[in-house]
Amino acid sequence: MSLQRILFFVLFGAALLACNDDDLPQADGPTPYSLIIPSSLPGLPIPNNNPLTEEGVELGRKLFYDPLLSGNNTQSCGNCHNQADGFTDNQLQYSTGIDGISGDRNSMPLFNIGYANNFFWDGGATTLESQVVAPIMNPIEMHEDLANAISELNAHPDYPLLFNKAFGSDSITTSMVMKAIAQFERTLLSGNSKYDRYMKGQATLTPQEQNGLIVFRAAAKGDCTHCHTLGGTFTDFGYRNTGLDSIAVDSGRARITLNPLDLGRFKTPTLRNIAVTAPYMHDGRFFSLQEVLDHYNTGFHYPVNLDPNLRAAVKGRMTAQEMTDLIAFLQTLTDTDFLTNPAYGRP
Amino acid sequence: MNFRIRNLLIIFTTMKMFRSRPSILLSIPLIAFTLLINGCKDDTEDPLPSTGSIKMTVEHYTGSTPLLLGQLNATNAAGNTYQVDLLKYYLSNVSLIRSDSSLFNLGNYDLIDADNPSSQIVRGKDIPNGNYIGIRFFIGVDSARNNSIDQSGDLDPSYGMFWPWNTGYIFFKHEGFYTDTAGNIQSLLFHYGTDIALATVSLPLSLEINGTEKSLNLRFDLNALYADPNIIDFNIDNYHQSDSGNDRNWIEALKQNFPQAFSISVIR
Ligand code: HEC
Ligand code: HEC
Repeated sequence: MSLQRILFFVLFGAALLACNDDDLPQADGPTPYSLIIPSSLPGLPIPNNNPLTEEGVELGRKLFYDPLLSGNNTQSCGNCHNQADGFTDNQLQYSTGIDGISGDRNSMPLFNIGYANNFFWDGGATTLESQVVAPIMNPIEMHEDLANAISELNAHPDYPLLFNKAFGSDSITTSMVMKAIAQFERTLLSGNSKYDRYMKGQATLTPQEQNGLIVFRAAAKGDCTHCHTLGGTFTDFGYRNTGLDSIAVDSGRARITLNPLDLGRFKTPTLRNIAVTAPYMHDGRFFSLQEVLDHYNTGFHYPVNLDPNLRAAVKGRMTAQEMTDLIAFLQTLTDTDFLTNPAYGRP
Repeated sequence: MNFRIRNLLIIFTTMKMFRSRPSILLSIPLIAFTLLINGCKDDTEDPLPSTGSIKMTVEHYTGSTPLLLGQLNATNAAGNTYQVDLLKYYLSNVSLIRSDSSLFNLGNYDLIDADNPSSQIVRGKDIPNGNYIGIRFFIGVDSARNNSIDQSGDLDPSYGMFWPWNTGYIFFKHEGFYTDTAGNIQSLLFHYGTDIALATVSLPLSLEINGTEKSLNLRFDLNALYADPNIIDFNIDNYHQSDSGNDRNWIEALKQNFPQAFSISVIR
């Protein structure tokens, strides 16, 4: 090689090194995650500032199941959000935090959560990212000092590298933890129940299940579709008072809006996988679907802001047989593939 | 132009100019010089001295007495003797007001902690030279930032200034004790926030920015916060977390009082 060539390459290198803080795209950034959305579900909105990546989702999953994020390192998100129970708390009415204190609300399912605009029974959390730090620092849940959790992660043998792969920096920040867990949560999609396969012509409903579907839709019977939309997410995410109490014990949505008209209003939950997410309602007061239907059929009260559809509903409009059929239909919404998919379980 | 590319171009041309071997030696210092002066400089021209900066120091008072944390020694307009153990709040969007009432917004989000002197300094730079007739800031965080806590700096949630049940920052915290009418010591907890609580403080000021740093003194009188125009009586209001309809009146009252609780002066 001529001297000129050598010199050229030396200088070429020098010119490249001359300026480091450059914004050329990184060649070895995280790999985009290819999300497979079941055909029964709509397109999923992903925030621009938190795209799904292989590394981010995998890190989020590890964090979701890691008790390191709790005050005494004994509890993870997965403790109160168990996959086999549709990511709710195994049969518990109120979940118990690390200090043995229980809250006054029932744990919520976490699948298809990326479709929601607000989180919690009262919609108090406004982004999935923002929600993440709530249970970590909540004294009745994981009761951890956030700054402490972040320094534990930074001192951990594995995490700095994993964060670097996902976010390009091994100096871990609260924001990265929020983003990673939210990414994992957005991949939890459930849309392959017997009902979905029936809609695609791949399964048949029994006559009882079919009758249950009719009761579910009929305006003079279940009229469930007003709020729990049929198909898709099985909820319109609206806030309603369903007359559980004549005077609300839990102020519900009003705690967030400070508006008395929102007293006792709660977010309409999905009915997917409903057979495995007992107990039911924001306070887990009903332990079976039969109890839920008894409430809608005859049990509801008349608070001032009772949902108009329920106010108009005639008590006793469903027969015992119709309710049994309706339960058979609700059981077709269980998605066993989702509940057992190892990709969502403890890594 | 990107500096790497510019450096490369200069090297290419220099190499071409000195094709013959002896001149390579000549080209070395030339190229080295290129790298030296072009190396890592910002593309923009050096800023002319057309801007200045401010350093605003916040001081806390109860009436005319400097605030003493952990002492049951303050008395408010309602006659309650009270103590402050914790006083923290967000002071954001500090803006200087021009005579045509347009604003120069520093875009800052500062968490002020009465227990941490270094938190009590708000700095602003690159302020265009000129005369300013006032200052405006928020106690709290504007709704654009208040609806997600996935943020950094003083808005990093690890400072614990947020509610677990409601996305948003706690704008202002006062925790401590007071003596009730019967003479018993009771605890006091004020966690003030939600979008409706964003309080705007505007103060007249005569400030000339002329390329240097100006020092300002911002005085926050807690007694005025609990007095003007709405008297807050701790016997009635001693616990508020901005999470029920009953907190609305208290939020409105404090929101109206915040502007009277601050005064500003230029010290240099
Ligand atoms: C101690 C039990 C417990 C732990 C631990 C826990 N959660 Fe929850 N989670 C709940 C309960 C109870 C609710 C309902 C709370 C409410 O509405 O006030 C909930 C609600 C949620 C929701 C809202 C779902 C919706 O549809 O609106 C999300 C998301 C969530 N949790 C994620 C997490 C994450 C992420 C973690 C770990 C960082 C976690 N949870 C840890 C009990 C727990
Ligand atoms: C007016 C709107 C509305 C109608 C109509 C309605 N629901 Fe609901 N449903 C809700 C809301 C809101 C909740 C949550 C209430 C709470 O926890 O306070 C809920 C809760 C439930 C739950 C508990 C879910 C869980 O995760 O805990 C089930 C099951 C349920 N509904 C089934 C039905 C069925 C079946 C019908 C028809 C017979 C029906 N709903 C009609 C709004 C409605």
